[in-house]
Amino acid sequence: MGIVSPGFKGRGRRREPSAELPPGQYLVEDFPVLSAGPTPDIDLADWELAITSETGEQRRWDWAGFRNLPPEPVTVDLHCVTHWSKLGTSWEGVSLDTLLEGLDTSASFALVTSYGGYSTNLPLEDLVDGKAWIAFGYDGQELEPEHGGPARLLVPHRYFWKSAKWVRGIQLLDADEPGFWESLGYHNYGDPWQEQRFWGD
Amino acid sequence: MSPPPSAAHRLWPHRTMADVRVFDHAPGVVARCPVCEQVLLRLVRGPGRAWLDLRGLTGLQLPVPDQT
Repeated sequence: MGIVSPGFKGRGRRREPSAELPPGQYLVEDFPVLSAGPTPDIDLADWELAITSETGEQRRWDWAGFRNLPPEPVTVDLHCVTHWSKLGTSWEGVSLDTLLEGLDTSASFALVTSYGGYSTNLPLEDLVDGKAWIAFGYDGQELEPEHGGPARLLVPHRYFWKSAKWVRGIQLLDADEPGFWESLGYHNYGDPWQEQRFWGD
Repeated sequence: MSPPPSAAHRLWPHRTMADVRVFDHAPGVVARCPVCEQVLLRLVRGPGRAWLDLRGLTGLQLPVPDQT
């Protein structure tokens, strides 16, 4: 491999693009595992999720408290910036609308942080109104660690790097703060239908 | 449990780049310290350009031939 890698291409069978795929994407049937670091070993007894508002107001859930929240089945298409797409994936998760309900905030942005140090940023409006979940189940099973278990963000209308694995916290911010990939060339917003892969796209 | 970063980085002069843990099944390439897993460098390639972040490297010892 050369020192400048073109990135992971996935292992799936390449197919012709179809109308149901965003531009530049190809369909896979498997579920490629991409990661910027080692899979963290997370003990559910220590797991927590915290949402912190721009004023410092904080909500915390341990695993039992999180799993007591009403779950939703979610079937969505996934689009990775490395060009693979996977259609009709089935998840179970808690809507961000549930987690944010009643929280007093005027923030416009969110910085999502993960066990292991990963982060990604989104406008807060992209996390509400039925567009984002904290997913803990995939395809009828517990979400496997290599895919972000015990729980990951799921924001399927953005490129999949925005769906942070091993989610631990969400900070609501007045000013946007670029995340792990957004700070090094990847697009701040990442709309697959606009093919917003890199800075300037 | 990993040692604190300061301890890990003190080990660094005794390690080689071959010891670095590289994660390249990702949107970019990420090289991490094999001891504390902190990011040493990141590399992203886009069409016609690349981005390089050397956040975790303060210096490298490079083998070079003697000057003649």
